[in-house]
Amino acid sequence: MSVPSEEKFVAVLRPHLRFLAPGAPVDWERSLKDLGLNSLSSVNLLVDLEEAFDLTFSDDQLAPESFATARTLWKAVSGGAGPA
Amino acid sequence: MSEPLLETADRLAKVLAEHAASVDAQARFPVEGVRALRESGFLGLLVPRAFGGLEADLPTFSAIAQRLAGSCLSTAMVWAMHCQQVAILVAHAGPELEASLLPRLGAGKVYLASITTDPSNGGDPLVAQSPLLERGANVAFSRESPVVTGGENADGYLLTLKASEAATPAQVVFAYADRAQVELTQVEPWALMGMRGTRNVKLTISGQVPRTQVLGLGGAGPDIVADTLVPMGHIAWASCWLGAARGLLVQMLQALRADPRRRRALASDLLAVKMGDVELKLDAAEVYLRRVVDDYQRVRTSPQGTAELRSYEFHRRLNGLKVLAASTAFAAVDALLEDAGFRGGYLQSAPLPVERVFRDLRSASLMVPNERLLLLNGRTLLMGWGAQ
Repeated sequence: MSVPSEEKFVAVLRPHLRFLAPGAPVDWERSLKDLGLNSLSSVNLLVDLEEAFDLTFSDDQLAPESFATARTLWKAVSGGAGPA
Repeated sequence: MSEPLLETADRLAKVLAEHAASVDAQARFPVEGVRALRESGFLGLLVPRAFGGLEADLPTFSAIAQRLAGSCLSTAMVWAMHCQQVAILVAHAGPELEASLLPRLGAGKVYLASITTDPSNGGDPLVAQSPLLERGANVAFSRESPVVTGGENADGYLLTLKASEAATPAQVVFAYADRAQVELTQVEPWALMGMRGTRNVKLTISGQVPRTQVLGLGGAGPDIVADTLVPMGHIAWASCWLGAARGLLVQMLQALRADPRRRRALASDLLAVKMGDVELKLDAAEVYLRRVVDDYQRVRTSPQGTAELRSYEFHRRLNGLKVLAASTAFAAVDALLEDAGFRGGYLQSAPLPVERVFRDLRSASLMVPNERLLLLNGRTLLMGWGAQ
């Protein structure tokens, strides 16, 4: 697996957030649902993240809670807590 | 289940049946049927007795919708969707709106239309592009809707909006508005193949209402969709569709037995097998419907029920209900039309309304498309969301 960078993570995430204004920063605490991610689109984000970082989400990491915010998703990708 | 209410429903079904053909032919709002439903207290069927309503339980609501739809699917659908809006207001209105509106709903004074579609949300009630605008103690709105059932005839409207100008379209709230609080412009009726009595129109609605008429502030709008709008919508639609197909089956069987010239048909093996098959499939879908109705009644009235109500499994079952009812009801009427033949089914002047029910039920798979719901169910299933 490649070492995840926050910058690359945000670049992969951004196109999946259809309600995030172009150029607006990704708020790490904001509900991804509010930003336009839904049950239909989550799987596409999953596939993009796994390909970008050469990893496979475990069943636990696949839980809907992982997709709650950018921070919870980053934690699933990197095992870390993300920026303060 | 309330027997007196079911008896009233049977009486009302006769009124609906009388006007079903003209409502369809003229593509007009079913004023006679809705008047009869209003006078019988049925517009307040789901309103608590404390507010003057009939406080029927969900199994009674579903059974009534089925009986009414057996006579006129358009009128039943207009009424059932009104009841869906009532259920949202009963469950989620704040104290001021509850005090001012629920007694009027209970008295049957308000026929409600729902406005959840907008030009770019594909009918998804979890997305709204037009914002709620602050106007001191009031809020204002202006939104286009490509399709509103009974839009010209409603006494009140429940519409989805995004919570503010800065909110994203996923931050949905609901606003209630009386007819006198809004202006309708650019009203254009749809020309439909079936369900013509639902009098669907495209319109733009603008208005201003007190802030107390907004539901779902503080991020609770999507919960209103998950807890009430979706379950009540799927139960209402499924009840109506299955009721329409069942009603036609019953009428065809009665007509067959009543016609001495068709005595030989009663002895036909082929006909017997086909009728047995139609009934079995309707039975199976009705059992599924009853199970969902009972589950929903249980989880929404239990303090521990919220987690189950919002679970992926429960929503897959709700979506499944819609898909199953739509496909089963249409397959049933298609089989009945095949059997009734050209003169008995395909002709508009046939003695039974086979072609009308066929046209009406053709819409079922298209209203929130079956494919979209199966895709949604399959996606969450594949992700392992919601235990199996």
